[in-house]
Amino acid sequence: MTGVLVLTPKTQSKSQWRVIWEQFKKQPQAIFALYILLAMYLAAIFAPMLTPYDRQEAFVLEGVRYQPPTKVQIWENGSLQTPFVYATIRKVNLETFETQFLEDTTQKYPIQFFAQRGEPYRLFWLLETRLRLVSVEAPARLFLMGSDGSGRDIFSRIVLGAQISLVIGFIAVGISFLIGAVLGGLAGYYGGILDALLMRFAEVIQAIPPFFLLIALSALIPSLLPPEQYFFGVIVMLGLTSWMDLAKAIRGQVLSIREQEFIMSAKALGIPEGRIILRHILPNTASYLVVLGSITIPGAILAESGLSFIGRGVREPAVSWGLMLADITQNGVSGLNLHPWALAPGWYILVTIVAWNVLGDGLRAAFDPKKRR
Amino acid sequence: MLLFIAKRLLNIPIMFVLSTLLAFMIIQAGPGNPAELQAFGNDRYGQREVQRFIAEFGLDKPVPVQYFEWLGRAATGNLGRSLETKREVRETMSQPVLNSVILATSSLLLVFLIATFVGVYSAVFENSLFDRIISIASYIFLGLPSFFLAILFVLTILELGWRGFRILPIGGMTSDNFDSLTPVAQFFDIAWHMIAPMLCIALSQVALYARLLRSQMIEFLADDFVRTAKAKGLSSRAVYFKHALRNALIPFVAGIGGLLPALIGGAGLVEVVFNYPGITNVMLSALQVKDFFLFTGLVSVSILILIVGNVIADVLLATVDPRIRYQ
Repeated sequence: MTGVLVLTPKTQSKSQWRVIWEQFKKQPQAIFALYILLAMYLAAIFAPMLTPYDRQEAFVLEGVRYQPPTKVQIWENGSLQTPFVYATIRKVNLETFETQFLEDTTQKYPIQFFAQRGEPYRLFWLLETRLRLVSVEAPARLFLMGSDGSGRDIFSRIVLGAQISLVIGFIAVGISFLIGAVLGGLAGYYGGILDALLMRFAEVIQAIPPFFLLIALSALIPSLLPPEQYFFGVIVMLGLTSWMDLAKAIRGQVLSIREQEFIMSAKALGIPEGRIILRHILPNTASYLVVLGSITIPGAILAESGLSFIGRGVREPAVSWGLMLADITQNGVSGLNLHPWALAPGWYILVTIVAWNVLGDGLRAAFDPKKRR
Repeated sequence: MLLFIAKRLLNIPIMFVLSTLLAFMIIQAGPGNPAELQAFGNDRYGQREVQRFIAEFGLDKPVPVQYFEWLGRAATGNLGRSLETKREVRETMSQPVLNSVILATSSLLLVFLIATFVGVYSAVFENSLFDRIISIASYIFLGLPSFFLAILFVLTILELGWRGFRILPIGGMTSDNFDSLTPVAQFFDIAWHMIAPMLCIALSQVALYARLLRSQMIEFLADDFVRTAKAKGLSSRAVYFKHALRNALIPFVAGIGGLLPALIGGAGLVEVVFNYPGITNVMLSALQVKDFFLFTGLVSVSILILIVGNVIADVLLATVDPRIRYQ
C-alpha cells in the first residue's frame, strides 16, 4: 500500500469527496454548526445517563409545579466548594396567593456525579444501569432548567425529547429519499407515460397545502397505539408528505445523466437496467442528495414540532420538544410570563434548525464548483 | 401566451378534482366514525339513531360514490352539511376562511414591504454591518418555528402588560364589547387584534424572501446595464430602484401567487397560538369530531386557493419576464 503511495505522482487528482471536505473545512461557521449538531446527537444517544430524572418522573405531590431553575452553588463563606444545592420550600403568599419557592439554607445537598439513582434504564437498549451523571438526594431537587406544569424536570425532558425531535428528521427524510429516489429515478429513466403519471401524482399531492395534508393524515393513526408505534406512524406520515420535491429533483438529475456516454456504454455492454439505475445513475446524484438532505431535515424537524404542538404528532408519555411547548400553552397563554423557563424547548428547536441550515449552506457551497476557493 | 394561459386554466379543474379526491379518501380512511362519536356518552342515541344518521349523510355508500356525490353538489356551490352542527358547511366556514384570507393578505403585504427594504439595502451595502446583522437575523428567523415566535410575542405582550403597557391583546380577533362598537371602531378593533399575528406570520416568512431578493439584487448590481446607468450620471437612487430593483423583483412578484396559499397554510400554527378564528382552528375541531364534510370543505377551499395561486404565479412570471416563452 505504501509502495503505491510513493509511486503515485504528486499531481494525482483528489477524489471528489476529498475536495468537498477540504472546501467544507474552509468555512468556520459550518464546522461550528457541525460540532453543535454532533454534540446534540451524542447527548440524545446518552440521554438517560445525562438526565437527573426520567421523562415522566413528576413531583406533583410536593407541589412543585413550575418550580424555577435550581441554583447550583459553588461558593460558600468566600471559598470554592464542590457544587451543591439547597432544598426548596414552597410557600403560598397569603396576600397574592402566588406560590413562592424559597431556599432552605440549613442543609447543603452536594451534587453527586455518577451516582446510582432513580429507575433503572437501558443504555443503547442493552446495558441496564441506574448510573446518572448528576443527581442530588431528596428532598432537594436538581431542576437545572426548572420544572414544568406537572412538576417534571424540564432539562431531563429536553434531553430525552431530543431522541425524538432530532431523530425524527433523519428517519423521515430517509423515507422520503427512498420514495423520492425510486419514483424520481423511474420517472427520469423511463420517461414517457410513467414519467407523466408519476409527476402528475406528485403535483396532485402538492396541491393540498402541506400543513393541512399532515393534519388530515394524522387522523389515520389510531390514537390508541402504544407510544413507540404512534411515533413510527408520525415518521411515516412526515416521509410520505415530503418526497415530491426530492422526486422531481432526482428526476431532473437522472434525465441529464441518462444522456451521458457512460450510460450508453453500460447499455451497450448489456448491463440490466435495474443495475444501471442503482449502480451508475443514482450514485452520480449522491452529492446533490447530500445537499438536498441537509435542507430537508430541518423542515421535517420543524414539521414534527408543529404537529406535536397542536396535538397531532408525538403523544404522551413520549416526549418531544413540540409536545413540551404544547404542554405549557394548553391551559391558555395568559400565565406564560410567570414561568418563562418553560419555553426552553423552543430555544433548542431554534439552535437545531439554525445549525442544520448553516451546515446545509456550508455543504452547498462546498459542493458547488463555482464557489470553490 | 393566450394558449398558455388557457392550458393552465384548463388544468385547474383537473388538479382540483384529483387532489380533492385524494384528500377525501385520506379523510374518510381514518379509524372511528362520526356516528359512533355522536352516540358516545349519549343514552338516547341508540342503534336506530346511528343507522338513521349514517343514512342521512350517505356514509354507508362506498367512498368513491360519496366523493362524486359530494363533487356534484360542490359544483353547484353546495358543500353539504356539517355532521356535528347540521348547519350548511358553506355557512359555517365562510367566516373562518375570510378571516384567514384577511390575515394572510395583510401579512403578505408586510412580507413584501420588509423584504424589499431589507433586500435592497443589504445588497447595496453588501458586507456592511447592516448586511451582517440582517444575515444573522434571517438565520434566526428561518430557524424559529412560527408557533414559538408567536409564543414569544405573547410573552412579550404579557410582560409589557405587567409593567403597565397594555399595547396589544394576546389573542382572539375581537374585544368582548365588539357588538356594542360603531362600525369604524369595530374595524380598528379587528386591526388592533391582528397586529401581533400578522407581524408574527410576516416575520416567520420574510427571511427567505429577503435573502432571495438580496442575491438577485447583488447579481443585477454587478451587471453591465447598471454600470452604464451609473456612467450616464444617474443618481444612485434611480439606479438602485429603477434599474436593479425592477429586474430583481421578477421572481419575487411571480412568487406572490404561490406565497398567499403558503401563508394561509403556514399561518395555521400562529392562528392556534393567538386563538384567531381562522381555518386551522375550525379544521382541528372538525377533525376531533370526525366532521368529514366540514373538514373536506375547508381543505377543498384551501386547495382551490393554492392551485389558482400557482396558476397566477406562472402567468405572472411569463408576463413579467420576457425571457420566458411558453409554447
